[in-house]
This record gives sequence, structure tokens and C-alpha cells, in this order.
Amino acid sequence: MRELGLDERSFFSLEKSFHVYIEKYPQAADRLLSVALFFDNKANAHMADKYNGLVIVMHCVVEKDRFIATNVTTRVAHTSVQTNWRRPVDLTFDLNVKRGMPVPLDVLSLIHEMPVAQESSVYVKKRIASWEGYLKIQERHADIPDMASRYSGLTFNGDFSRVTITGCQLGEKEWKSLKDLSVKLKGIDKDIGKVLKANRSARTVEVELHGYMEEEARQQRLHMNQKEVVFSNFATVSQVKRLRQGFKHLENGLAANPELERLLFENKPPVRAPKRQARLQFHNHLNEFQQEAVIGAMSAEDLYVIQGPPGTGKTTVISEICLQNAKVGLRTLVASQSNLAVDNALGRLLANKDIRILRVGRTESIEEEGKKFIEENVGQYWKDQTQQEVFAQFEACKKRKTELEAEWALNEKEQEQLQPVLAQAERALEVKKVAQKEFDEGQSFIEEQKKDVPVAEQKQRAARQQVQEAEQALRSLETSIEQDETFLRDESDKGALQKEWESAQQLMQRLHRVIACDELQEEINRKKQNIDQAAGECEKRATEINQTDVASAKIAAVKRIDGLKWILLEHYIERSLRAEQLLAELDCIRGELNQFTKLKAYNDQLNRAISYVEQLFIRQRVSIDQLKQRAGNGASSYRADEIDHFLDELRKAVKQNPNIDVRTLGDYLEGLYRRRHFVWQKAKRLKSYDHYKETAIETFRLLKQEMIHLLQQKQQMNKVSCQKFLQVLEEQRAELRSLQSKHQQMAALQEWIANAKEALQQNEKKALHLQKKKEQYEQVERRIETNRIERLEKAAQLKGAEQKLAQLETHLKELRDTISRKEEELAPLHVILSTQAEREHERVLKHLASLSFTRESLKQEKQKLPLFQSVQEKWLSLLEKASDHDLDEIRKLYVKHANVIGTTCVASARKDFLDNYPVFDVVIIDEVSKATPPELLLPMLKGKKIILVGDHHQLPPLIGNDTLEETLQEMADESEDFEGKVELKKLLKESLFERLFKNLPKSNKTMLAIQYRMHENIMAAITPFYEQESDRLQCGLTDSDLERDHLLESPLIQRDNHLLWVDMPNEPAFFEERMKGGKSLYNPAELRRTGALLKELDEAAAQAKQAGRMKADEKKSIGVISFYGEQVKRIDRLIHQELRLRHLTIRTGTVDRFQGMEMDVILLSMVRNHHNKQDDIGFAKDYRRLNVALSRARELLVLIGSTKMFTERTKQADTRNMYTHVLEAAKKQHGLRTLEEVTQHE
Amino acid sequence: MNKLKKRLRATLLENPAVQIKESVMWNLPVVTFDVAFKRVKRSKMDILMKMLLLAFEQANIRRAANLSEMLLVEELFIVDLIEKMQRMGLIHLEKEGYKLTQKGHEQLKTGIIDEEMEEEWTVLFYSPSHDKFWPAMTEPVPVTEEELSLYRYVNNQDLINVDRMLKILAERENRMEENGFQTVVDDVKSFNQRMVQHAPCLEFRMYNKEQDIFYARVWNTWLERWDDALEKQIEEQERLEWREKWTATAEFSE
Repeated sequence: MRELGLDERSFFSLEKSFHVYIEKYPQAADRLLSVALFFDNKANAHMADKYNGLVIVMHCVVEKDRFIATNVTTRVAHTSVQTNWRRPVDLTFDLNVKRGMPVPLDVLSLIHEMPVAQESSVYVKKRIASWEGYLKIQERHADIPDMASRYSGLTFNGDFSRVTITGCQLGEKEWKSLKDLSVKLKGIDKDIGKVLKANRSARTVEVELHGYMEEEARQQRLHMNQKEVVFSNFATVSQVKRLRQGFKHLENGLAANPELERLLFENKPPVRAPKRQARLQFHNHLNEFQQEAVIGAMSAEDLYVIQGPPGTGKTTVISEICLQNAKVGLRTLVASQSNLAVDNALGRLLANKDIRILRVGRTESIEEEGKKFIEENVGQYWKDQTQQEVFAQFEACKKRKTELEAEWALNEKEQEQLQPVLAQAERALEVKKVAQKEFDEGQSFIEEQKKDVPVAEQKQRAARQQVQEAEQALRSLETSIEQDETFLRDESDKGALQKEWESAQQLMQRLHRVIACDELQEEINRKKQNIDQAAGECEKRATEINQTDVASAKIAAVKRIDGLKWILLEHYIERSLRAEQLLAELDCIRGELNQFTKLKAYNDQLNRAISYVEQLFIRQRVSIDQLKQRAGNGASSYRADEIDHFLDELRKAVKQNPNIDVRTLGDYLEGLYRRRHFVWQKAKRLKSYDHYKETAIETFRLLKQEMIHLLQQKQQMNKVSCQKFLQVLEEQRAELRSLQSKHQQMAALQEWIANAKEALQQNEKKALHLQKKKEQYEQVERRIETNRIERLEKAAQLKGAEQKLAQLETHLKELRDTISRKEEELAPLHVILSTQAEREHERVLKHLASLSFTRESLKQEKQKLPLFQSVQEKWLSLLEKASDHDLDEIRKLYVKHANVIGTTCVASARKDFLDNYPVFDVVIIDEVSKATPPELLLPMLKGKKIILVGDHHQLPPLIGNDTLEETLQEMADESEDFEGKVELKKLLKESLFERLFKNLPKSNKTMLAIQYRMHENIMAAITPFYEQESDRLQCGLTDSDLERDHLLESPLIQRDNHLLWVDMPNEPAFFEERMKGGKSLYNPAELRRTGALLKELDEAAAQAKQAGRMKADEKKSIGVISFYGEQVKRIDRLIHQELRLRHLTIRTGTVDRFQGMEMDVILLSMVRNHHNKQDDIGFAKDYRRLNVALSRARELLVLIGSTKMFTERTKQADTRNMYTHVLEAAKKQHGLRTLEEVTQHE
Repeated sequence: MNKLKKRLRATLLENPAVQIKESVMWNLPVVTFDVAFKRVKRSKMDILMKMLLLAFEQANIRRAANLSEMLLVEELFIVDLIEKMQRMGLIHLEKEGYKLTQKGHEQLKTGIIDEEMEEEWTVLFYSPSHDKFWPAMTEPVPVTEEELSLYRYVNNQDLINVDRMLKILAERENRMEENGFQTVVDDVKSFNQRMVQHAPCLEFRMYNKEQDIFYARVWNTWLERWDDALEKQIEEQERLEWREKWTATAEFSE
């Protein structure tokens, strides 16, 4: 900053706040977020002033509370400050760090979200590298330095379009690189032209002169004293420079549309969806596809692509879009690859005061159609246009005045006439209203009545049913009564039945009594048995008592327990719980006593043994105390058998050896001691023998006592029971006695009847039957009675129901009558109601309203008209007298407000143009498929919205005079290692336009599918080229034969011929030839044929004039085209030098040059014809070239060439098919002409 | 004249491939008109501004759109001019529309009044064969010994009228004056065809052997240039005959 001669403080005090563009640097993990601040050198006026407009760039690190400037640099004044990678912001700087205020969040988030400039640039760089190839082609000769040479003379050709510079002195290498260089003569400011051909051996250079040089040449102003020529490639270099600059601009984010690079390079272009479909009023007459295209283009946000096959009215669409844009105040750039195309497009724009067209470019390269739009002419153009329009309107106004009067009068008359009509209509309306009311009332009455009908009908049905039911009931009653009466008649008397029943009852009573007597007898028998049983029981109890007494005595006497147990078993005495316990106790005592005896026995044995052994010891005088003591200490346990065994062993040992040694004896003695000790120990646990004995005696006594107690209890019970039985016996005997007396009484009263029970059952059955019969009889009698009464009731009911039914029927009939009467009454109202009185009334009112509206507008017009007249008259007179000065003023206004600017793609990147028109709202590029992507980029950079118009089924870009394929071939020949070749080939296969068209969504593209140029028969030849598209190519001409009548009749051509193929035999006499020292081909036979055909056409035109089909001063426009330049050249010479064709205007050119043009008649010389197996048909292979060739003619297309060559000898099947289709189309239209036919007519 | 002819021949023959088959000389008629016209001195105020002032004077106009409709002039132009006139203090906006200020009235007055100037005379040269007015000859016509015939395809249609005269005079005589005035040719009072001058022309009938083409070269001494219009007229009429004539003789002689 010091270098800039300013300290911080004074720099930042230059402006209150700075308009700054922030650029973000790439972020890295190890680095702080950093940005560059570009200080706008326009918005910051003081700063700009101070630093002479330099752009100041401050590189900063961004922290939360501050920007830390790390470096400050400057850029030259014209550096672009605003780019798509930077974001504008107004910053106020606070130099006081201590305040520690944070950087506003908005700024931080802006920085956070913005793209990194470098990354965006790298993205573009990477993608755009694929376009490098185009530049490489154009740059081939860019590094050639200017070459100067002396020359000896200039010779011009016939029409001063070329000059040959003779006697040039150039180096060997220089000669080679001359082609296409621009040529300058010393002494003349401008270039005179560019090199066409250099001939080193003749030392001549042929130069194609620029158009504006013709005049100079004719005035011989090119003959200079100092003969020096300079060849330079300045033009090429500057062109390539502009293209490169385009790349750079895209890289630096300078496109008007910030998304441009993505739209161009992404596989799926990220177009923004249209916000809404524009609603438009069209000014041109547009078909559905054209309308779709215009609406689409107007609605699109960023990119729209229109595919326009030949003659489909692309220019009309462009014109409409320009006008629509103008209407909404948008400025449009119309760009195209060639000047011709730009001028064509502009020339066909609708003359409308809202459109102000300005053609920008080098005046000398602008065609006639575009000339009126160049800056110096727009004043005049405007004046002419305005004058014309004002005049037309002025004249119209004059006429209008009288018309107006007439219209006024007519209007008044009509209004008057309408008044009575209105009155009538109102009357009719009134009548109808009344009728309506009446009708409505009547109708509602009818409705009401009608509602009653179903009710009445329902009632009627019910009544009818009632009648039927009553009748039915009556009938069934009758039958029932009848049946019952027969029954009564047939059945026996009631009294007999009663008697029979009574006798049965008496018999039954007797029987009952007999049975009761029998039963009593049985009872007596049973009682006797019972008494016997009870006596038996008594006896049993008495014996039991005796036995128990015996047992008690036995028990008291018993002394031993076993005896007691035996008594218990003997007398089945049950042991009580207590008895069981006592018995167990006794058993236990007995066990203990046994043990005691056993131990005593062992003790005696042992004592004996011990005393024996002790004596032995004493004999030997050995002490035994120690042994005794030792044995007393141990605590061993022994079983009985073990002790027995030990004693046996001792006995044996003593017996065998009476002198047993002391030691062994000691062991024995100790063993004896031990065992005795064990026995003692065991005995110690037992109680004394007497104790056991006492206890046993006591227990036994208790047991006996218990037993006796038990027996006593039993004895008691037996005694009680015996007593009870005796009592029962007594009772039974008393009962028996009473029964026996009762039986005796009964038997005396009653005679006995055998089988009384059976007789009683039979009698009961009979009595029951009789009872039932009696009841039935009574029932029938009762029933007859009730039925009779019911019959009377029912008869009365039936009568009532029948009456009711009759009443209902009459009511219903009345109802129906009323309805039909009312309906008849309403019928005449229908006629009135069916009249359209309202509509008529409305119509009259509407008519009146429109009349008064018209009247109002007429009135206004009438008022305005005189003013218009006088103003316009004055205006016209002023316009007529407009001077150059006036036009100049107008020109200034016009240029300022120009809203449709036309220029070529490359010219749109010229410095002055960039300055004047940096940005356009809309950029329309026409003939897109003919421009290379780098060329297209230049106008695209300038457009916020881009509309591309082209047709990828027509030819791709030309470079110089050559097609891209040719140039590529040439470059491949020159050097093998041409880098961009692969990329270019890919691009050639699918152009930018084609790719965009295929990949864009439906909302961003349209194909114009209706063509108006060609007769439908000609169109038939090219339809296959468009079959892949979504819409088929259609012919928009309503009557092709009428609208595309070529009016000619000749031996070869009939009026209804529109597509002809004049066949050339595939024979040597008709073969192609190669130009000497060149590569281009020509065909002399076809040349002759073309000449002859032109003559024939000329004559035919003359005849057509004679016959009055053509106007006398009219000329048929004919284009003669060929795939090969050399053939075109020869045709051209032929036409100019050898033919005089008074009735034709002819243009010639290669197929490629003719793209975009149209003619009434086209002759296509196809040239290729040979027998060479290695060779093919060259350029004619490309379907796009054939498409262009076939689609130039409006009325008549004549192909001149070998059918065999193109449909059979061609190598690729696709190509053969393509030409076969054309041939078939021609044949179908009777348009094939063979050599025989042709020569016949000559 | 011969000198000229020699020089031209030499130039043409610089190309070794060409032959001059024949050359002739003839006179091209150039008509001289005496024209009386009048110029006026007029304010430099341009017509659109003038028209706007007139309209504002005549009617109540508030919106540029109304004027645009009447004059069939772009609204933007009118808006621009209205702003300019307001800036200059010629008009101001009132309730019912734009009105002229005092200054505006004055300017309009001078603007519409043409100050007539004295009647003037001049001479115009016209070539019927080209249907064009030519400037006066800068150098005298070269002298010829022989009597020359007239150009054989002279066009005798009378295409001259006052409008064309006026246009050509305006191009030549309109001037910008100081003090915001311009002088403009306003009227052609009269014009008389005075006499027909003759411009000698040298015609060469050329043949290019290499390309097998015949063509004409005509040097127009008045304009001092090769005259493409005349060449074209001659070629159209005679080229085929030339081919017949000289191809036949060439074949014969070979």
C-alpha cells in the first residue's frame, strides 16, 4: 500500500463504503479461509480517481471478527471486476481492531456459500479442452510471419473478382504457406483480398479480391509505382485470438449467464424449468410447431433449441421471437456464422415500429439485405418505413372518414330497428313468465295429486286382499261345519256312551277293593318273616355275652404275655392303640433282657479266660498291671462271633503249647482285657436286670387291665343291642295282630275275583276311550256352534270390505281423471314455455350493448380523426422534407434504442462491439449447425438467454472453403500426431447442437415439422432423414401442385414432374475426371447434359411466357449445384461463356455453399461416376450433404448422375439405401430419365 | 487517344493468357441538364422534435403512447425527446398535457419558418445507359481524329423526374450553417435538357486461352475507369457470337 503512495487510513477513508467483489480462494485443511477483495474501479469513484482507474485487489484471510489483509496488488483498468465466480458486496471498513466487532454474518455466509473461483475455472478449462481441436485447425498457419515481396505486375480476371500478382519473389517455404493469407499492396490501406492459389514455378499468386476492391481495380488505382506486396495472416490470427478470448472469458466467469458452462458441457444440461408458459399474441402467421417454438423460446429461462429442417420457417420464428422480445422491452442479438445468414435473417424480420434492427459489422462484408440496417442507413430506413406507414394510415384515415359516417348511420339505424324488437322480446318474456307461473302451479298441483295415487292404489290393493281373505275364510268355515255335521250324524248317541262309561266305572271300583285285600295278605306274610329274623338276632347276642365273660376271666388269670396274646386271637379281641403300645413296650424290654444275658455270658467266659491267663502270668511273675491299664485306655468294638473266635484261638494256643511265652500270652491277655472292657462298656449302657423285670411286670399288668376294660365295653354294647332287638320283636308282633284282623274284615265283605289287576287295566283303557269319545262329541258340537256364529260375522265383514273396495276404486278413478284433466289444461302452456324468449331477449340486449359500444368507439374515433388527420398530414410533409441532418438525429435515437442487433458470431467478440453491447437479454443464433462450438461460444457469452436455431441433419461447419472432414484429412496428411483429432472426430459425429437438442427436456426444444418450401413430391426425397425425430416432416402447402407449379413443359419435363433423375450410364464415356494438378473432380458428360438441360429449360420458359403461363418480364430462378467445386466452376463458365439464357436467372455453387438458399428449380450435378473398385462416392456419402442438395428446390429438382453408381456401386449399404430411396421416389413420380429418352429428344 | 489506347492494351496484355481479339472506339451519350433550384435556410431542429412541438401545440397530450399511436413512431423515441425538450425548457407538463413554454413557442416559430434564399442554377450530367447522374468531368475528353459512332446499346428511356433531381441536388447542395441553421434544397424550379455530350469509350474484346472465356473491357474516359455496366451490356448481347466467330476461325486456322 505504501507503494501506492497511501497509508491505510487514508485509503479506507476514500469512500464511506466500498463496492467490492469477493473472490474465494481454494480452501485447504491447513489454511485459513482466504479471499480476494476486488475494489470496483467504477462504483468507487474517489478511489478510481486516486489510482487512475486501477483495480485494487486486497488478498485477505477471513476471521470471525476481521479481515486480515495479507497483500495488496493492482490490476490494469480494463480488468473485469465483476465475474460469475465473484460476489458483489458493499463493505465499510473499521480499522480499529480493538473494538472486536464480528464480521457481519451475511458476509460470512456469502463467502461460505460462494463457489471457489479457481475450481470453477478449472472445470471450464477441463471441458473446453475438447474444443481445442477447432482452434488447432484454425491456428495451423497462425505463426506465419508477414511476408513481403516485390512483384512485377497485376492482371485481373474478367469481372475483377480476382487478380494475379506476377513475378513474386518468395522463399521456398513461404510459397507453401501462402494459401488463405490476406494480401496487402504497398500504398493501399486496406487488404485487397486473400490468396487463392500460389504457383511457385510461374511465380504468380492468385488473389481473390474483396468486393470493395473491384471499383478500385476498375479505376486502375491498384497499379502502384512501388510494387511491393505483403502477405499476412493477421485476419486469421485475430479471429483465432477472439475465439481464444472466448474460452478465457468462460473460464473467468464472464458469461452473461452464470450457468453457461454447465449448459454447454453437462451431459444433461441443467436448464431451469420455465416458470410459466408465456401467453402470446402472434404477429406472424405461425403453424402449431412455430407457435410452440416461439412460446417455448419466450418461456425458457436460459436455453432453447429449435430444430428447423429446410423450409420450415425458422426465420419467421426468429422474427416473431425478436418482435415478442421487443414488445416486452428486451434486447436481442441475432448472430450467425456467416454474414449472409445474418443478413438473411434480418432481412426477413417483420417491419414493425417496435423492432429497431441494427446490423453491426464491416460494411463491405454486409449483403444487400442487411445494408439498410447498418448504422449509416438506419436513419433513412426508419424514415422510409415511418413515411410508408404514416402514409398508409393517413390514406386509410381519409377513407375511414366516410366509412365512419356510414358506420355511424348504420349503427343508429340498427339501434332504432332493434327497439321494437326489444319491446317484443320483453313482451314475449312477460308472457312466458306468466305462463311459467301458471305452469308451475298446475304442475305442483299435478305433483300433489300424483302423490295421492300410489297411496290410493295401495289402499285399493289392501281392500282387495281383505275381500279375498274374507271369502277364503267363509269358504273354509262352510267346509268345517259340513264335516262336523257329518261326523255327528255318523256317530252313536250320547246317552249310550254315558251308560257304558258308568258300568265300566262300577266294575273298576269292585276290582280295586279285591286288589287291596290281596295286598294286605302279602303284608301279613312279610311281617311274620321279620319277627322270625328279630328273634334269631336276640339269641346271637346272648351267646356273645357269655363268651365275653369267659374271655375276661381268662385274661385275669393269665400270667404270661404269650398266653395273653393267644387269648386275644382266640376271642377276636380288637387291640386298642393303648394295647398296641404296651405290647411294643414289652417286646422292647424283652430285647434288652436278652442282651443283658448275652453280655453276662461273654463276661463270664472272658473272666474265666482272664483268670486262667493271669495265673499263668503270676506263675511267671510277670506284672499284668501295665497290660490292664493299656487295655482300659483303648476303645475298640467287637462282634460276638469275633470274641468267640478269639477265645477259641486262645484255647487252642494254650492247649497246643502249655508253655506259651509271655509275650504272646501278654498279647492274648491284652486282647482279653480289651474285649472284657468292651463288654463292660456295653453293659454299662444297660439298666439293671431287676429294673427290666419290674417294668415288664408292670406293663403286663397294665395290658391285662386294658384288655379287660375293652372286653367290658364290648359286653355293655352287646347287652344294649340284645335289649333293642327284644323290643322290636314285641312291636312287630303287635302290628301283625292288627293286620290279621283287618284282613279278616275285608275278606268277609268282598267276593274274591281272580286276575283282578289285569281286568282293572283293561277296564281303565276302555273307560279312557269312552271318556275321549265323549269329549270329542261335545267338542264338535261346540265347534259347530262357534263356526256358525263366525260364519255370520265373516259374511258381514265381506260385505263391508266389498263396499270399501268399490269406494276406493271410484276415488282412484277420480284422481286419475283430475290429473289428466290438469295435464290437458297445461299442454298449451308448453308451446309458450318452449320459446327462447330469454335468449332472444338477451341476444337483443347484447346486440344493443355492442351497438352502443361501437357507437361509443365510433364517437371517440370521430372526435380523434380530425386531429389524427391534421397531425399526420403535417408529419408526412415533414418527413418528406427530411434532410440529412434530420436523419442523423433519428439515427442517433435509433441506435440508442436499437433492440435487435445482428452480427456474425466472430464479430460479436470485437472490441467495439463488446464495449457497446456487453450483454443481451436474448441471443438468437441462427444456422447453429454451420458454426463451430468456439464460434458459437462468442455470442453465447453475451446472452442471459440463448436460443439456438439450426438443423443437425444439414451440413456441419466449413473452414475456409473446405469442410471439416476435408480439413481434417488434410491435417492428418500433413502430420500424423495431430492432438485434437480424436476429439474432433467425436464432435464431427455429434455436433454441439445435436447433443443439446437430444439431451434437453421437451420444454426446451422444438422441431419445426412443417415445411413450406418444397413441392410435396420433392419433400418425399428427404423425409427419411427426419424419421428418427419425434415428429415427421410434413408439407404445409395446401395444394402443392398449384402453389409449386413450375409452369414449364419440355420434352423431358412435364408439368406434373417435380423430382427428376436424369440417369448417366455407368460407362467410361460418362466417367468423372480429375483436375490437372488438383484434387477436385469434374464430369464433362454431366456438364454437357447440364448445359443442354438449361437450354431446354430456357426454351420451356419462353414457351410458358408465350402461352401466358409466365409473365413476360419474369425469370425462372435456377440453381445449379454440385458436390464438387471444380464442376461448379466449369458449369459457371459454361453458363457465362456458352449459353444465353434470357428467361432464367441462375446461381451456381457447391451444395455446401447453397445451404440456406432456395430456388424455383435446382439442377444437381452429382459428378461421381467410375469403375474403380477402391474408390467410392466421396463427399456424396454424407447424408447431410444429400439432404441439403435435395431440399433447395421449391418447384423442380433435377438430379444428373449415374443411378447405378449411387444406388449399386456405392460401398456402404446405408448410402446405397439413401440413394435408392431417392431413385424410388423419382420412379414413383415417373421422374426417371434414361439416356435413350434423353438423346431421343435431342 | 492513341496513347491511352496503347497504355490500356499494354495493361491488359500483362496477362500472357489473354488475347485482344478486337478493339473499337465509340461515344457514349451523356445528357446535360440546366437545373434551377431553390434552397431555404432552416432551423437545425430535427423533424421529430418539430412534430412533437406542433402536436403539443395542437392537442392535449399527456402520454407518449398517444403520440406514438398518432405518428407511428416508437414510444421510446418520443419519451427520449420529451425528456430532452423538458431539459431544454421547451415544454412542461400541465394538468391536461404537455404545453409549450415561451421558449418552446419561439423555437417552434423559427423552426417551422423557412427563410427562402435566392434561386440558383447548376448543371447535372446524366448517362442514360447507366441511369446515373455523373459528376462533371475532371479532365477534358481526349481528342480523337476519327468521327466516332455512338454506343450501340444506348438506352433512350426517359427516367428523369423532379424527385430524382431533388435527391441528387440535396446530396450535393445541402449545407450546415452556423447558429443552428441549415440550408436545404427545397424545390427544383425547372430543368432543361441542354445538350448531349459524348464520352469516348475504348472497347476491347478479350479472350483468355487458359480458361477459354471471352469477355469485354470498356474504358470509360469520362469516369476514367473500366466500366462494368457497359461491359456487361455488351457481353450479354455479343459474347456467344464472339465465341462462334473466333472459335471457328481458330479451329480453321489450326
